[in-house]
Amino acid sequence: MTESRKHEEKSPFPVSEELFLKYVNNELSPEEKWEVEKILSESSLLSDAEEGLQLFTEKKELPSVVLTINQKMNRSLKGRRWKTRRNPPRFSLILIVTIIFLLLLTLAFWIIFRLKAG
Amino acid sequence: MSTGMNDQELYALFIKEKNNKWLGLLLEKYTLVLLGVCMKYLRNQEDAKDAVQAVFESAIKKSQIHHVENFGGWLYKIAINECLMRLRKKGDAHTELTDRIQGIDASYLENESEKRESALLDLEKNLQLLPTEQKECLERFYFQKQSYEKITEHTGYKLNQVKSFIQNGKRNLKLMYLKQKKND
Repeated sequence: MTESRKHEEKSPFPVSEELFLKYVNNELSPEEKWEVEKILSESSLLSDAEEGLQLFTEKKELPSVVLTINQKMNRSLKGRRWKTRRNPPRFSLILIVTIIFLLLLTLAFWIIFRLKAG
Repeated sequence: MSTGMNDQELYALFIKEKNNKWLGLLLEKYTLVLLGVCMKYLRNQEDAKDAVQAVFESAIKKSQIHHVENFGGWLYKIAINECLMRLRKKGDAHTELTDRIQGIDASYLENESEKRESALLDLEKNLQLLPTEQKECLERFYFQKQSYEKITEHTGYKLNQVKSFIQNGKRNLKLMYLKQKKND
């Protein structure tokens, strides 16, 4: 099993982030390079990413750039709550009015019944 | 941090538990790739970093509303849209980007199917019909397992040319295959 396949389950791509970075930093053997390039040639997302990452002047700093972006993203996520869906106020108002109306109607029938019985 | 869970599992947990932790882990898997994509189109490191943040913000907002099936393809589309918007603001919109947006869903899904790609590349007969440069690059890449760098050394083509010959050669093979299938 090649290195690129070992990480298949963890990464959404058939190449791990670590291997991808090694490729960008030109740290792979010709065979490993070919394996990564085969994967790149089959994914427009990955080939776009590779082209872009090659444009960074300090490629060694990419992991720390990624870490900073992730920290900001996680901070942003922490401050957010899930939007819970509430019933629209108009609907609850209609419901309350209906219940009160039904209660009054029942009470009125009960009073009429008692008066007739008495 | 890696959980060993795939995108679908993390997204399902995010929806089920309504816990942003899972969305964070899911988005983290794509940071490096999105950074590369944004850098490719924006050609500026700071702009690319800002664009990735904006992509995440957009994904966080939308992920509670939309049901996402292909998370990678979805994020890719958001990223391309973000880059396009930023380039338009600068008055520098790429037609290449507009074309990309239209083709993303199909191409992302297609690209995941390695088996189909390999089957297409078995069509040696069609390979002979390709322009010489495309044929040469595809043969060197797939049959001789040469890296892009090696191909540039042997052929004298530039790196971008090699990539382009391989991509175009593959596309042409695919078109030939589909045409033949239609005729059958």
